[in-house]
Amino acid sequence: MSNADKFLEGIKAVTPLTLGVASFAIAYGLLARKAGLSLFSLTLMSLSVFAGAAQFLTISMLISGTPFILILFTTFVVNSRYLLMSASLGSYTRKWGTGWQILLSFLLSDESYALTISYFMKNEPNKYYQLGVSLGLYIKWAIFTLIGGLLGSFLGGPQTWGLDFALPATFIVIILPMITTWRHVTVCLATAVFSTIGLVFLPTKWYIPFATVLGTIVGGVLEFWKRK
Amino acid sequence: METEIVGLIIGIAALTFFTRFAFAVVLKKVKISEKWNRWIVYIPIAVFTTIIVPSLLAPNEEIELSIQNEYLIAGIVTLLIAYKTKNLAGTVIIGISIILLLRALLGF
Repeated sequence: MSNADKFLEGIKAVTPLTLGVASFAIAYGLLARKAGLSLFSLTLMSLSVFAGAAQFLTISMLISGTPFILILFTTFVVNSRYLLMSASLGSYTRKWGTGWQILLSFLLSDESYALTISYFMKNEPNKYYQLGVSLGLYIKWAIFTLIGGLLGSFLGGPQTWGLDFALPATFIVIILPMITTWRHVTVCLATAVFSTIGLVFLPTKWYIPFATVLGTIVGGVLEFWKRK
Repeated sequence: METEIVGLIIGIAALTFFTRFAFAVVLKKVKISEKWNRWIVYIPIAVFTTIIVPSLLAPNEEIELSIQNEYLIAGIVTLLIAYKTKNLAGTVIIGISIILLLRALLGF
């Protein structure tokens, strides 16, 4: 197979994900517009950050008036999963040179990681395949973000449409599939308690780093202390 | 404001790129243990829970543990629907409908 064929194979591999990517991208664009971001800013964010969870969290925190430093902290924490994903892909991407490594790192996402790593385990690792998968997702994310943003420009204020509740509802939908064991439930409940305590006792939005860090530590303790 | 937002976005983009690039370059022949892979799942769970809980419990900065708090009611119902149906887009739409209904019928 030629490089072009591999690239197209990657593009085709993301086709089944289109509906899922499109609905989250449209929701993001729409809500970001309602949160007061310009069409330029919200599209810039999809093109430069390209991470759904971090983007949704950012608009939610902007609405609630969170200091920028805490927004940076929170998005870094939620994206820290990429540290491990990129490390596990690093053994493949390294031999392709710095340019490719920068490009493929920039385009890394949860979906492209899952598709690429399972492909590399079964087939000869190929940079054009990974590029096809990554770029396919990137372009879809950008286009549907813009569509959502345009949609948001036509709708009325957030209160009238119940859109102020759309973000918490979306977050519930995002994390529920992740919660598969009693340990996950424990971390979720513990974090709920930590954030409430932080909300009452800490100044403004400082419950965010407080509860995030403690919740993650509880997860680590449960995971690393359990018997084989 | 626009300039500040663009600055923030560039900051987030830079940090995000760091997370995607740093370990790919620094760590050579790394073998990530299963425990670490399982542990990273807790990070988004903790972050999202931290954001969700106060937005339902204290939509106006102060804790409102009452039947008058439509965010809390709609949040709990949305959670149950999401759990029962596993339908993502449908759940969000039903959730929004519930909060609109609560506001219209009960005048919250």
